[in-house]
Amino acid sequence: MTVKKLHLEHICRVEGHGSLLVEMDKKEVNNVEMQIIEGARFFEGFAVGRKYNEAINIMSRICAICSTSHQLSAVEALERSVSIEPSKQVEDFRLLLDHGENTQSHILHVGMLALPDFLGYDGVIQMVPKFPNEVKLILRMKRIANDLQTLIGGREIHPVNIKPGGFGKYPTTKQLEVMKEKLIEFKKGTQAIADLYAGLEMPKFNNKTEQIAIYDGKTYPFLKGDLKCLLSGKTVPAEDYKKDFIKEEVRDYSTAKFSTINNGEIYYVSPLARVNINNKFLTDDAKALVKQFSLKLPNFNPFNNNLARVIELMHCVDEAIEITAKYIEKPPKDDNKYFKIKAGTGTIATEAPRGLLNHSYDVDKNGIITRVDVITPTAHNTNKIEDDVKKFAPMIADKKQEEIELLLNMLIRSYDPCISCSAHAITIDFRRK
Amino acid sequence: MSKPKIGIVGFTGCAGCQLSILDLEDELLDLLSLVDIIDFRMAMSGNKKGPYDILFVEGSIVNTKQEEELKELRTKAKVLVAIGSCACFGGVQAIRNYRNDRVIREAQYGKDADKFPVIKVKPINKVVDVDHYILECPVNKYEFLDFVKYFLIGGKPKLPNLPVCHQCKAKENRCIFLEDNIICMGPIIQAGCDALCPSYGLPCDGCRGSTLEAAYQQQVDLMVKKGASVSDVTRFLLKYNGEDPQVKEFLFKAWMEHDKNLKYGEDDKE
Repeated sequence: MTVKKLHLEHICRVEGHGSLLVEMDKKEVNNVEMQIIEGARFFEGFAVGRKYNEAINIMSRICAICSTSHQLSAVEALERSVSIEPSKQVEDFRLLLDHGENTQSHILHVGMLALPDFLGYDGVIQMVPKFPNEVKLILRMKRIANDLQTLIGGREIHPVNIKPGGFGKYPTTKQLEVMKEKLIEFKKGTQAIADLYAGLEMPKFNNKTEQIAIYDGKTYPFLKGDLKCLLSGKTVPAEDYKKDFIKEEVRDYSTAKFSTINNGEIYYVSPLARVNINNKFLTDDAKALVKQFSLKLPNFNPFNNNLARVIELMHCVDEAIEITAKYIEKPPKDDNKYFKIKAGTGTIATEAPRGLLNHSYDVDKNGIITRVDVITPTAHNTNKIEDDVKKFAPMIADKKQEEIELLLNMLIRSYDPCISCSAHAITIDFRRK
Repeated sequence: MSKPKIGIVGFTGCAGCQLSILDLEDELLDLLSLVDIIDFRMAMSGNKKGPYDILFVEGSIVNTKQEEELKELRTKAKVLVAIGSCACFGGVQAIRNYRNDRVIREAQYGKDADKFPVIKVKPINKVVDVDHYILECPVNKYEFLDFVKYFLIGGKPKLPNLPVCHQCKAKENRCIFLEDNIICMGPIIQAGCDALCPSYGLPCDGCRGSTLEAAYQQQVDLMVKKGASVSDVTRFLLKYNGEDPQVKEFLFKAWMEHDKNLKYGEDDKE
């Protein structure tokens, strides 16, 4: 009997360190382990004892690509803990900053991390000689997205300008005007990326499982909402995420935890889950891309996350242009700087580029944090990724080893896993009998 | 001359330093015409494990397996450069080195805490020799670029050995430390960020490590004068730089007698 063992060690073009182990007996998968081997960092431990306003910068160090999401989730949850209410202007600029991150993360993924798979290259660096114009466009778009993050957040990664109650400094009208022009250029680029992706074939695979995204019934939300399930239709308030709903467990082979809902049900979070649940709130040009891709909704093929990212690029840039225009008309005012703080609990559900993100804090009357809980998108998804591999591996078992490895890598990459996040990568180990 | 072979690897951190290099959108193509990137797992597949002319290492070391891996990498690298706060000074996770490890592990993993034995968070120079340091959290991408330029023409850049205040004053920022009593780390932190945070009206967070011969005692005296409590001081000093030798020296020699709760090395496994 031949044992087929595939160990994809150190999955590339993902953030962090992870491996995948697959053991197969002919076409039967015996064992799949998504091994997050990122060294554990214990944020939930060492953030305790910090003052509420200091933790914002600390929590963003969970992950660089989603550093803005972590800061925005932390600041909003901590504001709730101590009873600070941000103004509408603050919410607008937070969403604008968040769209800087969403567009940056998505163009990085669809342009530099995923695209080389579809065109047959090791990476974007190797694509340069054959596709110079495409690479230049992707880098230009990434630059613009980062310019937006820098303008509002002060820096591309780990913003410095966020604080409880608002921002250190707002951009000038002139800066907003320049930014708006760049965003219009970004939007044109997005259509070019969409045309490119419309010509690519996503691998065929369906795995109908529950999906969760935040929902407010009015917008395509990123920073505030309840948890909404696609299949069951169930809605859970953000504060009740762990009340008979999400359960986390620890497994020996991974520093990331594994989550289920409703006592053992596998679910997942992603850009595709957001498009599935909130598509009617997309902007018109983003809806046009759903049509252009002939994307049937609801959709259960994880590879289509790539298309969902392109759709969201359009949605986010549209909203960013709108907010920018609004504050060119009516320049932002300085924030209120003085707050009275109270002890309390603050819990929030947001959407990071990769999907649902939960932050929850208890703060005492002196503003010192006494409890922290964070569930990151990749920690939500570890179970689902294993389940996908169990179902997808038999479908491709007849292919050459190299092709199997590539397809499994692509499957995992389609989740854009953020492994620093989950442990607060991936190596593939494939064993076949 | 053939192009120098470059590796960019990450240990435990947030991958922000690697991402900062990918954020050099306007410079990346020019850079690639001058160097050969042979190992950059976050950005590409088909990576080669050396030999490297320059190896950039991000992240801190948190387990023995990583120590072995880093030692192995060192043998393959002519020049090894630590990038970012984690690799240089331990980063935010080094806060853990001053706390009870068991309590911290249990906060994250509950009763399963024992499944994740750890060692103290180490900057990489506690494991291997480091030839150069590039600071900031995440790493300052222009200082990274400068280093590569210097390497190509022979030599290496020098740190300015000035505090953040120096650049802050040059920008004519209002001093929020002296005028508004907002605790700022600027006087003792290595310049080079162009006083980023103070330029947004927010205090220096201390993410670049100590400037040479940093006057910690004077800084702490000023912090206390501006209303900081003993625990405030400890928290500020220990945000990013728990393994910065100058921070440690000050804490051990002068500060531990003030802050009775401050301990180092209180864990169940070393």
